[in-house]
This record gives sequence, C-alpha cells and structure tokens, in this order.
Amino acid sequence: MNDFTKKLSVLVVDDDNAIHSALRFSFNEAGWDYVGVLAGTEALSLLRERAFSAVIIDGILPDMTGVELCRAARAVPGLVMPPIAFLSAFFKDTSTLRELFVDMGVGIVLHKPRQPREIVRRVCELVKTDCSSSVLTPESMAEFAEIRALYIESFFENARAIESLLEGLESNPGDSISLLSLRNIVHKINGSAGSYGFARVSLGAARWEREILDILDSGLAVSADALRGFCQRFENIKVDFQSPRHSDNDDPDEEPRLMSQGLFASF
Amino acid sequence: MQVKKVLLIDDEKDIRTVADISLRRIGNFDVTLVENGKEGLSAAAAIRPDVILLDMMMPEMDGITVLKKLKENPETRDIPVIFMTARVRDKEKTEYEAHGAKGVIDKPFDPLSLAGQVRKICDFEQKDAAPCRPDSDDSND
Repeated sequence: MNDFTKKLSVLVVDDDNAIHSALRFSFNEAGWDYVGVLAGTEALSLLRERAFSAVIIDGILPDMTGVELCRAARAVPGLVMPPIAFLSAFFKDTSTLRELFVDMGVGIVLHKPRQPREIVRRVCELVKTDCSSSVLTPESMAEFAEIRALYIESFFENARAIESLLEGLESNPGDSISLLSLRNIVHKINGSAGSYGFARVSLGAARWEREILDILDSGLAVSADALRGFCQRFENIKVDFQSPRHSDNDDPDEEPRLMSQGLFASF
Repeated sequence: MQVKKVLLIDDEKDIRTVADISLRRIGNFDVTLVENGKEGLSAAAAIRPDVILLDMMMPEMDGITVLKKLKENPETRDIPVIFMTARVRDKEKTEYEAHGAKGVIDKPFDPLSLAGQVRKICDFEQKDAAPCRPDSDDSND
C-alpha cells in the first residue's frame, strides 16, 4: 500500500519543454513533486536511482519510443516500475493497445491535447489506493491486477470477432445468425467491461445491444444506416476502452450504471 | 462468523473470475464456480449453498430454466437465487423476480460491492448463522 503521508512524485518523460512547464505547474499545484526529463535514457537512469509514485511517458522521444522505454525499464533487474500513464498524440490500434496494456504494464493511455489539470486528475486516479486499501490486501490487489490483464486480452479477442461479424453483415445484411452472434458478444462486453473498470465501454455496449435486439425483434435485415451505426458504436467502444475513466458527456440517465471504479483506478 | 457458501453459475469466464475474487477476498464467502446450468443443478444439490448467483443468458439452459428446475427439486427449492444479468430493458427485473428470484444484481457489477449486495439481498448480516429465507420481504435494490 502507498504511504499517503509521503509526498507523491511524478516522473514525466517528454521532449517538449512547453509540456513540462504546464504539467509542472499543475502537479505542483496538486502537491506533487515534479521531475521532468527530455529523453528515455535520462528517464531510465532516474528510475534506477529513486522511486516515483507515477511515471508519464510520451509516445515519441528523441532517443527511443515510449514503448521502447517501457520495454527497457522492464528489462532492468529489480526495477519496480510505478504506475505508467502513456501520453500520445495518436489513438492506438488494438494490437498496439494490447502491447501497451498487457505487455508493457501501462495503466492508462492519455491522448494529446489534454488539459494539464485533467492529466493530473487522471494520474491521481491511477495511483490512488485509498478506496481499495480498506478492504483489500496487497495479495488481493495483485490478483485483481492479474485478472484485469487477462480481461484486456479477452476484450481484444472479442473485438476481433466483432470485426469479422461486421464484415460478414456488410456482405450479407440478412444473416440473422451473425446478428445473433454479434448480440451475444456485445452482451458479454456490456455485462463485464464495467466490472473491470471500463464502465463507459459497458454503457456503449448496452446501447448497441438494444439496437441489435430491436433489429432482431423486427426480423428485418440490417440496413446500411444501421450497419454504419454499428461500426460507429464499435469505434466508440474502442475509444472508451482506451480512456476508461473519462467522465465528460455522461448521459445522466445512464449515470447509475457508472459504478465506483475505485478498485481498478489503482492499476 | 459462519462462512457462507455461494454457488455461481455463469458461462462467461471473465465474470466467474472477477466475481470469484470479489466474493472470496472481499466477502469472505466459500465460492463454487460452474459454467452451465446442468453443472449448476448438480452442484446445488451436492453442496447446498446458502445462495446461488445465476446468470440469465447462457447457452443450452438459460437462467429461468435453471431456476425452475431448482424450485422443482425439494433439495434445492429453498436455496435463494439471485439473478445476475446485463439488463437491456427496464421491465426485465420485475419479470425475473416474478419467476421466484430472491433478487437481481445488475451486470456489470462493482467488484468492491458485489459481496455486500449479496449479503444485503440475503439478509446475511442480521441472520448470521441461519440460512437466508427465500420468502422474506427485504429489499433487493
């Protein structure tokens, strides 16, 4: 468990001095110690020397990529990485995301541009354990972290299956078996993603499932408009999967389903 | 405090995994997991759990069918059953309760509060050592 009497500290690895100025101000304002470096090699040296509460890594650095930095840090014997926030100007495809979350142990992906205070808020959520510490032992936390990594794997398997079903429905819009299979996968995501900290993914899947059920109930083929809507739903789900905790644009009617995510906020 | 036995019947591994850890680690329950209705019926008769958590949408035998069979068997009919479901339409909850479910827990559930929800529905806190009554009229919100 983190000792919250100690001051929190963040290491930010980014070659843009303007980012450092903005983030340093916001992190200091929130009471954090701020250490900024411009390149991956400097970051590796510091990570070897001292502990941080969190590290923010830009996707592209002068001497290596953010992924290469994560990989290099993981290869250092005995180095325990703090929670990682990955900063990127680009949305990631699912295979890159998989690599970040599963292989590199990244906790969140933050997309630029983003307000510095929003970044501070998200990193605070990433490291906080106050909600979980009252009921969970470190062993339980580790167990939950492990199953979340497995869930991310399983999400990508479902995503691949959805892609294939959407392609099938494009060529054969009246294929009710494929539509039913799609419903079953979307239903699974609806019912499970929120329990693993991806509440907005569940919300998106629930809306999508309702649309699929309406078509199944009607007995009609999937119209071109509906299929475009499906593809958009799928894209939204993937985006929400990358930003699991953003709270803007929430539909107040759906708010009750956005359960506490305190548990997985700490991973 | 007597450890309560929970039987979870759900075809989805992701749900079994997270529910298992939540119920064991946070709720201190004795948890048995099965992945389909047929195994669920056998396990219910064999281990006589204090409560059964039952997924609604499963291939081969859905939750309603499993519940009916549990109620038909004198050995299992008094075991309270809580449906776990990703509800798509609001009317579903009352429909499930009409089938004799003790309560409904919405998916996705919060792993930190799942055990508490189960205890609340079954009134475990107040009637610690006794099995929870399937016909009691307590809240299942």
